[in-house]
Amino acid sequence: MNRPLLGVLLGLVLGALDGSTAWFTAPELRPEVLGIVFGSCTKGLLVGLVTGFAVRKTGSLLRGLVVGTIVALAFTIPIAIMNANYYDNATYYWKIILPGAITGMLVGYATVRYGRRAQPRGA
Amino acid sequence: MNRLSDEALAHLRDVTERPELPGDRYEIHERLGRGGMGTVWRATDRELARDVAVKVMTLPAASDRERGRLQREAHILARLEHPGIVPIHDIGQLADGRLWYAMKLVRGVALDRAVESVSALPARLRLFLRLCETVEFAHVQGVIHRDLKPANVMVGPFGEVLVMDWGVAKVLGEPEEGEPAAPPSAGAADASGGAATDGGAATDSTSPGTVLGTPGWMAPEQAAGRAHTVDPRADVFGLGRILHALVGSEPPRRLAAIVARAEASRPEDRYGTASELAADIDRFLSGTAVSAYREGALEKLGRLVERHRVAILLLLAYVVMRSLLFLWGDR
Repeated sequence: MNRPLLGVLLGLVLGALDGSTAWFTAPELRPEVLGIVFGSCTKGLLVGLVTGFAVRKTGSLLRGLVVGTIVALAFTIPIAIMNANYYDNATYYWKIILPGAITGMLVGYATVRYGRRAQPRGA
Repeated sequence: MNRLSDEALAHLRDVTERPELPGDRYEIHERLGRGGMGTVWRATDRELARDVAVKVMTLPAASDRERGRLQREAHILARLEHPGIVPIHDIGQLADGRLWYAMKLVRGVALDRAVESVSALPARLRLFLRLCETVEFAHVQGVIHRDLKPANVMVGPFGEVLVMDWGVAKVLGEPEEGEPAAPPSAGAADASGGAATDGGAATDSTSPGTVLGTPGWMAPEQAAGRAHTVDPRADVFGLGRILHALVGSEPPRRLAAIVARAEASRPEDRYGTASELAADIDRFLSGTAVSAYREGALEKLGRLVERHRVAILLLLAYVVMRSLLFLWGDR
């Protein structure tokens, strides 16, 4: 499977799983869990797509990890800042940013490790 | 009377043995090595302004069979155009009747010396894969090397792997000099013929029952004097011996099984081709199941964990981090 497509699928699945953990980690948000899962899926899809394109030619797993983390943080931090006013909790930022970063690492690593590398032009 | 030093003697021998090639195209320099069939010299090709290696028959009074073998080696080299096989440039005859041919000058070291600086097993196996690729190419062209050993494999400065010394190679479908119309029976073979060499160049005789190859590296059927009947699996055995030398005394089980299958005594127990052997090495390198080893459920699980360890570690890190944040958030 090519890397952008694999990145999208991984982002969707991991985003869905990450979003659904809100059911356990934030019981007060259970009425909104579908919206959270949808938002997390969308974020995962975009992270996977951007990461998949960014690493489509690399052979370096480390680069995959770094790119995945940076892209995930680039999406996660603004979302965390936008929603910060709604939550008054010391662990809020950690709860949003850390899972996003590790999910990004996973997407970046797995995309390079298991995705088909794009051939250079003219090869 | 003053005695000549060893150095002076060697120099004198060098000068007297130095071949005089016809014409002025090649300028011969120092001797690079000496084998059973010939001596290899470094030379300069003045016409193309490049260094080449020139292999010259050692003895002027060599038999027709020896001449034929050197000529056949040159023809085989010409036939096998592959990055892993030294290309031949020119062939000719000296005034004293000795044959010679010019080929690419390989600047590298023998495989056994080259791997001294390559400690990582995967890197060694990747070198081996390139060797398998070359041998498979020769087999597809109908040529069996019959003398594969580390000394006959050169590794260049950029990691290129070259298979050398095709002097005892067999061309499938072409009768060899001295080859009987029908294959000799096992009972007629004379394994003690003494024609095999010990670590040096292989013998150049192909009489029925004569041993061709190098002891310790050649296949049992070859050592039994049935050189005419060997097929590509004899080279698979040689590759197995080389692999054995590359992986050390305590390789992982799956790799040990690959080695054991490659160097099995009976040809039918070995890999059928060099590419089948290479495919198993490739599978070993990528952490997938190899055909030579039947693994148990726990071994399979261990291999899968090893193969996907980074992804598993990241998933575990995610779960642990989520759990910690959950506990921390409840305080």
